[in-house]
Amino acid sequence: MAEFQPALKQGFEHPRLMREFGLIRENLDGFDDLDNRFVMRSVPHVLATATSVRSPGGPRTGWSGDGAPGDGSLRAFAVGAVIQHFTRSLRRVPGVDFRLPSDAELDALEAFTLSLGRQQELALPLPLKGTQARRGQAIYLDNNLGKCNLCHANAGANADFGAGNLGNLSFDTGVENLPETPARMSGEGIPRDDGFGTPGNGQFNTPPLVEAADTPPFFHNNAAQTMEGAVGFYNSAAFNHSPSGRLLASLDAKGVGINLDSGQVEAVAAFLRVINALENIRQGDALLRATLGNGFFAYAQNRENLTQAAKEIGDARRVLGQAGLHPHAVALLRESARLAQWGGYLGLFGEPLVQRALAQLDAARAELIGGTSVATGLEQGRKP
Amino acid sequence: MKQSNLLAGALVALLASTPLAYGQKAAEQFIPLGQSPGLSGKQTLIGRIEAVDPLSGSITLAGEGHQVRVTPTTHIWLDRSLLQLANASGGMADLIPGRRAEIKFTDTNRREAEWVKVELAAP
Repeated sequence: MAEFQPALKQGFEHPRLMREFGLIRENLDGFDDLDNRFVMRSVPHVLATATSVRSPGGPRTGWSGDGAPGDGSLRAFAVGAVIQHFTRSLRRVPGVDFRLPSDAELDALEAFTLSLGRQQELALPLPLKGTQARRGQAIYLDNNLGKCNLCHANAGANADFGAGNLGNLSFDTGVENLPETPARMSGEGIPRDDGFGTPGNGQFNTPPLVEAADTPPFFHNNAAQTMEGAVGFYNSAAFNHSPSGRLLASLDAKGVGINLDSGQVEAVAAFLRVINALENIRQGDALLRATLGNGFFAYAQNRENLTQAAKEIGDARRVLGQAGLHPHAVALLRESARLAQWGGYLGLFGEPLVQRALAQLDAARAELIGGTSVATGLEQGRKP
Repeated sequence: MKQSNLLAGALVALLASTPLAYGQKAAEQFIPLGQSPGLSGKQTLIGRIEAVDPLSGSITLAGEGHQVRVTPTTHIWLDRSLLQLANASGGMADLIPGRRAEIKFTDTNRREAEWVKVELAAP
């Protein structure tokens, strides 16, 4: 809009930061000084919101948990989004520059958002087969080494410090203190982001990690481009000098916050890639099965589901392939996605291809994880 | 004490310092009186301003028996959407008897205002 609407050329989106670095302008601290008072944030995915939006203090929306006006709920989030992003002019006159969503629209948007992605947490540890991912999972779960599971329990967005699920929490992890994020390297003026509240306290929400590997870049400012870079951040001075890093260090027998060697970083990243692939496989599987036995008149719906299934399976293939993980599974996933796509083209006659796609998908899954009888949280959505 | 217990205790202390969720104030300014999702009609009070006491910094809405404190941290917004003008920040001087207002409270006793929206309509 900033590129095409003269009224939004200044004080709205920054086209270069948006298109090159995926950063969106937010005026969380007020709209009184549009030239100087703003933050530039990435767009978090909304997958598995049903598992990640609750906190002891109420719902957490947006990167700093305070993205919604009104009662701060997920339902109210769309109202803030309309005011911030969907205005025709910077005057932001209700009823003139934008229309607020109706109650029915807010209900529908909330229901839709909550329906996306995982509806339940994983149950770690998983019986993973890959050496690197298995070691990564062990590091992840080790509260004296990786320490990841404390804030991202079961690779989700909720904390568990040993006394059960504490819900979604916010932390100051020092990401904002990284001296050279991609966007800052551009030389564009990017104000410091102070996180939750006005003035901010430096804290940002904990995002779910199962969905991380196929939704880069990472952090509220897109500071890390790769899974390995994101895990590696926790070795940095920025993290270890942050309030969260110092707290972990104060509790460590050697006074260390987080200090992983490069192999350990890659192992944790491999683990996160594999659980992301498994989630994509779960979704692909559910979408494929939803097309079976529907008859000729479900052609359009089936084709949509199969196209989506091919994309989910393709995500799993890419996430593994990018790190050279499980090459045989990658080949099976490639074939499964191809069969799903062709199944969509052929309509009723494509069902045998869908069955073959499912078989390839099951085989790929079996390359990654064993013990289908184990309660992993990955079975949801599978038809018996 | 086990290290995990120490860790849990310290992190729970950190949790205790974590602020509660709240509605974002920046966008709230642009929501017309009575339309704040999840708040209007539930957690706010809407009515005409009956009395204003500038000395104590308080207002009373019609039908509400007690005064509500307006403190220096209270946001006062002018809802000018009926005039098709942009909503704006206001001040105590904009709280004029007879105008419609909506109050969100900072406390469950409804004694102190977190924000006040005042509706400006055509004369």
